[in-house]
Amino acid sequence: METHHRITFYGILQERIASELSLNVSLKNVSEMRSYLEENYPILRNIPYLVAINRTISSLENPLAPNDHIAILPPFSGG
Amino acid sequence: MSRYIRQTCLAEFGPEGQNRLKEASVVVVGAGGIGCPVLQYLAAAGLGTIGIIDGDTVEESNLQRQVLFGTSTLGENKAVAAAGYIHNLNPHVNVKVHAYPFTSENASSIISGYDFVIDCTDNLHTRYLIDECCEALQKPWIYGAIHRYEAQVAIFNYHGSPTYLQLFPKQSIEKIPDCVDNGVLGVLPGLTGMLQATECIKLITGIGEPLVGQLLVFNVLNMQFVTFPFAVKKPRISGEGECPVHLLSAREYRDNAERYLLVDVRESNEVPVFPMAKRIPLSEIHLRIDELITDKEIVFVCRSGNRSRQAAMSLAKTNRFNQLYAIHEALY
Repeated sequence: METHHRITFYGILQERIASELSLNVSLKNVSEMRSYLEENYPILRNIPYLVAINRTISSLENPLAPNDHIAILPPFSGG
Repeated sequence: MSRYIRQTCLAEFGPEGQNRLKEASVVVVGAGGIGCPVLQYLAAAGLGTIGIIDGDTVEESNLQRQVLFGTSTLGENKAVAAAGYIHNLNPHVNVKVHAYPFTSENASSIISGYDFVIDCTDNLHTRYLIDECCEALQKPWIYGAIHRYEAQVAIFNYHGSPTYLQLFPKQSIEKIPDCVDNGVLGVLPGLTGMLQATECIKLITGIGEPLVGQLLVFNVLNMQFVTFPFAVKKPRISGEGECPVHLLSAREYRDNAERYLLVDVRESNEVPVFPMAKRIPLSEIHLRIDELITDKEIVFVCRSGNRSRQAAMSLAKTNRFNQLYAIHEALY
């Protein structure tokens, strides 16, 4: 069964990928989501980023549930 | 002093808050768009010692956001020009000028002279350097960074929060653009620096709930402010085979004060006196260990959280306790 995930990108990733994406793929946890994104958006291999699920920054093993809201946060550089 | 009356009349802040600011030292890395408001408000608030690190000179294109500088300071070193501004704003502040770039050669020797570090830099490389140094020297640092219309603020190396490197592993080979590449509205670094200055004042005076264990992200185009808590567990600060040491905020202690025997490890002449605390200076803690064997949990307190942590970590090696606690900040 396909699952729907809504992803919001921040910072440079907003310009390089999109502000928001809807994914219809089944991803069990954050680790699978990172692999999926890095395969489809190679820039993510070269920039560190945090994954937040429903506004909490999560680690690789964190499971993903249908309709979770995911935020992808790279560091900002300017100052 | 009437200069500070509008903040000392705040009940939570009071004359004690002012004394804490006076005793504190902060180093600001970068006197640019973020660094200017940080310096301006910390100096106005009466910080005791402020260090300014910047090797750059003031250019005309800086003046749209770097509000300590003006036409008359074009071409001057930024740390020198900022110190001149502060001297006029508040001559009671002891300003230390580091008019050269912050590098891996001078980072530790500069940072070791201050209590807190505020990151106002414009690149990732320098942030990793601040992170590494602050972890080694056990100094809290306040992160602020911007990207177009968005900004991030967080506190690292405080209350067991993860390091910057743990959050953002250094895999980056792609340059993340800065203000020169991207453009910036002057108010965005201004807001960012004011938030960092606010957090700094809170950490020093112990008022409120600091932005610990979370990343604040805001966007000035839609005025959305979102905090992302870290689910990452607080790392254990005692070693293998030693009893665990837990760091508590002042509020966490006060909410369950009856569970603990509060032990004040400051020297016997330090004020204010905490009436509910047993007083054992850090230097005597091992000699007087028998006084700590009770049914209650032991929690250490000091002025800022350094000695309380040292006391707990040192006693954790003795095998005399199941667990120990340290209050990681000022108690009031």
